[in-house]
Amino acid sequence: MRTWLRAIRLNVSTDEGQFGRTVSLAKGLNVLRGANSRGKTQLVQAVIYALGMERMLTARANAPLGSVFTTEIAVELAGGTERTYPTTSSWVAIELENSEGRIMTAQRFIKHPIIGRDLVRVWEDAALTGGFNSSGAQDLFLHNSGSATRSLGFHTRLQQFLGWSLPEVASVSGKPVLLYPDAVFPFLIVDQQSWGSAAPRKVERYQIKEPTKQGMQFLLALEGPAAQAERNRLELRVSELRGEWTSQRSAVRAICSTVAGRVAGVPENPAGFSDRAVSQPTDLASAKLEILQGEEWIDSDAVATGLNAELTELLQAQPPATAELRDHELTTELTEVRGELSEVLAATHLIESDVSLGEAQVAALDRRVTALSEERDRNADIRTLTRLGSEVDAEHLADHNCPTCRQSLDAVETQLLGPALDLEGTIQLLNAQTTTARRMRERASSALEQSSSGFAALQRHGDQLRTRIRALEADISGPQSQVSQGEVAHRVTLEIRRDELERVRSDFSSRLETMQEVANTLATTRQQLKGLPEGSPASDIEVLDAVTRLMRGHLRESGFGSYDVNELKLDASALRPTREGYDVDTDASASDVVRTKIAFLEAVRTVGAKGGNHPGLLILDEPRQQDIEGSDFGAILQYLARNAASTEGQVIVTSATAAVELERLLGPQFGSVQVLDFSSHRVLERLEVPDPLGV
Amino acid sequence: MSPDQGSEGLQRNDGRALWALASSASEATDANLRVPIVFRQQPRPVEARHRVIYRSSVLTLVLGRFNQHAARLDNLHLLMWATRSSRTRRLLLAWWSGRRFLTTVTVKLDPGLDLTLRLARADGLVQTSGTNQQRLKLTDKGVRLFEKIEEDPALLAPEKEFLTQLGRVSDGAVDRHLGRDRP
Repeated sequence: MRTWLRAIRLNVSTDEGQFGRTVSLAKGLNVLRGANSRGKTQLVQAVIYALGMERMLTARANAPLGSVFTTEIAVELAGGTERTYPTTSSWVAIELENSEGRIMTAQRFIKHPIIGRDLVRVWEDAALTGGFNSSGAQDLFLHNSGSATRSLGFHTRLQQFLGWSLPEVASVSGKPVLLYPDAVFPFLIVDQQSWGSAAPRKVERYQIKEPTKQGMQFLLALEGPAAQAERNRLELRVSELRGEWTSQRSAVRAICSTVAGRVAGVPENPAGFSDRAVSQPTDLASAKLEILQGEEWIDSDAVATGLNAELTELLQAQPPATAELRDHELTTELTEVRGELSEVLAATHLIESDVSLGEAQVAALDRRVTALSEERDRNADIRTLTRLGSEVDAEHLADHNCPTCRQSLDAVETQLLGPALDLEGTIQLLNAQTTTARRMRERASSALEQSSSGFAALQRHGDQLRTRIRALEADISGPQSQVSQGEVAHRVTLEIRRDELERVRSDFSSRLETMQEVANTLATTRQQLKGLPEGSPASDIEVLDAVTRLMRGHLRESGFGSYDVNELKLDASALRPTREGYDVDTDASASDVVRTKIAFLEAVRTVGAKGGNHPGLLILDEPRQQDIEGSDFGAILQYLARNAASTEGQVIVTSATAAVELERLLGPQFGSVQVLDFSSHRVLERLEVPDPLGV
Repeated sequence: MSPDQGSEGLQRNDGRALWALASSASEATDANLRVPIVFRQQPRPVEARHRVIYRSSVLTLVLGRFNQHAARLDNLHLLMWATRSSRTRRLLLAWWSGRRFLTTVTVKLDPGLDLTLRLARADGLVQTSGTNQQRLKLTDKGVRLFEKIEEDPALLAPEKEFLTQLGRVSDGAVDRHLGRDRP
């Protein structure tokens, strides 16, 4: 939304009366003319301060206005003498209008016994140029957390007024932060200290990564950053899904281990886990729970069916006809079960030593991998240390020679070793060894996993057999009329086992469904990521081309002479004027840096106001720096006036150039430019009537 | 035994067949074995902790972390020994925090320190100081190198992390933590 400044007012109160000035501004080019040290810069600083943007100048929230506003004001008396009066209170105010016709007045105190600097009084009408209505004021806060997000924050109100919704951008540490208005305003206001660089001031206090680039992207409403933000969002989603998969997988494994089972068909990483193209999501249809029976892993479906069949058979079994027959059966069974137990115990013993061997192996390989990586890091450090050695002139580090006898130190290092590998060779060798050790560790750990599940299953089986043996022994020694304990125990064990298995199987299948969903979402997200455009979209390139063309045109008009204007480009990654292989701030004449800065910011203003978020406002504090030729300065003013009129924007320039010369320089444009001439008067003058906005 | 039978024996991986093959070496197999054998010395990797650059840099780092960039020789030996591996680092940290009784010998020697110190002194990184010239101190150049090493947190990261865990290091601190009498 276009926004323009309608008026600026300064006010200083002393015990001897008030001093102040109201400057009314118009759309188009405004030139504030006055002799040096009369207070033109104070007007620009007043705008910065009233907008709460002084932190774009310095890190601390100091009022940028001079001592007049804080300590004392010197007043010229008749006869050429000067008298100073201490300042009791002071404030500045600005009146803004946007293209919807809304008007906002903002007043901020610099010195006041009660009102602090972090308070801005805001009127929703023209309090400076229209009638003053003291009741409509609202107090908004500034420079506290939330001043750009909460409804009572002044910068929130300012954003609404400008029609801005500032995006979240990456901070230096990669976290999202709000693009604060302070980072954008250097494109709108150029203070006198920032003419040394062709790029706008860089506001670093908010830890925003590349603040200038972000500001430019916002003002020109480039689409590339939106795609980048989408990419960041999707990448975050992928990493969440990966975490979800890993935790679900280990949960499934934990559940299965309670029934001495193992999971088959669930890969460690699903499709899309790594940054590769995904043709289709991982399919978990073949995933199953397997249980160890005897020496074989059997599908849990078959195990459940078997258990059910065995239970049915037990229920239908007929009791033996005579006691002798029963004892005989029991003894035979006991012998069988004992035999089975001793087999199971032997197998358990074997597999146990497997497990402990495997554990030791994995631990040893872990240590090996750690040691190898540390050794590799040390070797890589040596490369850096050699450079540091040459930086501080430590010869034996830099050139590897003895500082006394200048002979190579190779022999000292290798002593009895014989020929030694050089640093690069060593690093390569260590990398290869690390890879091998990692692979070995992977294999060892998967083998260990298998043995552990087998061990657990066998232990469980052994426990069941022991229970059965105890029950059979009790049956043999117990009275014959009693219900067979062995059978009861066997049935209870079987029932428990069946119920447990059913529970685990249903839990397993519901978790598999979740995992399948995760795998599907992951694949879709990966595909969305692949579908995002790489590099800058065509529309962005068009916008940047338009800025570049305009900037070059402005430079040609204003007599840029350091090199061919066509060599100056807008760097697509840094989004600032660059020349390949050169530093535009130091490799051009100082006056050309000023020319570049104005040409660039004016091009951003023109293009950004048409299709972007630029409010169309540009304030330049004394752009006639570094002895720019009069004719070139005239050309600058002419293109500023022309563009400001055609874009319905506002450009405010302060200048000490004489009034007559200004008229000559502006030529035919003079009629359309508002020149406010303070000549040699001070901007602050004695007020006969106290200002109604004063508190 | 014909060569065919021999290869079958090998395939079966039967030890007896191998022995039989070796003991009844016919002329044909003998000829096959007459191949010139050349031994070449392959270049071998040098451990980073034996490299002069690494040693001098760690020496600078350790001395730099000491109070006033100065330390007694025995303490320098101890810390240079401790930076060697994760095991030695763990051991010293255990003594330092009192988790492990000081029954074992806590005086440790770093065999290469003498040479490292000579090189570092010749290069002007380290000088002697103290009343009896008993202490070693970083020179201004040494401090510059120390500061450069400290600038990059990824450089010598495990060593730095270890030294940071010790907290403020000085001769006095070592004496206190390891329960030594002052010499």
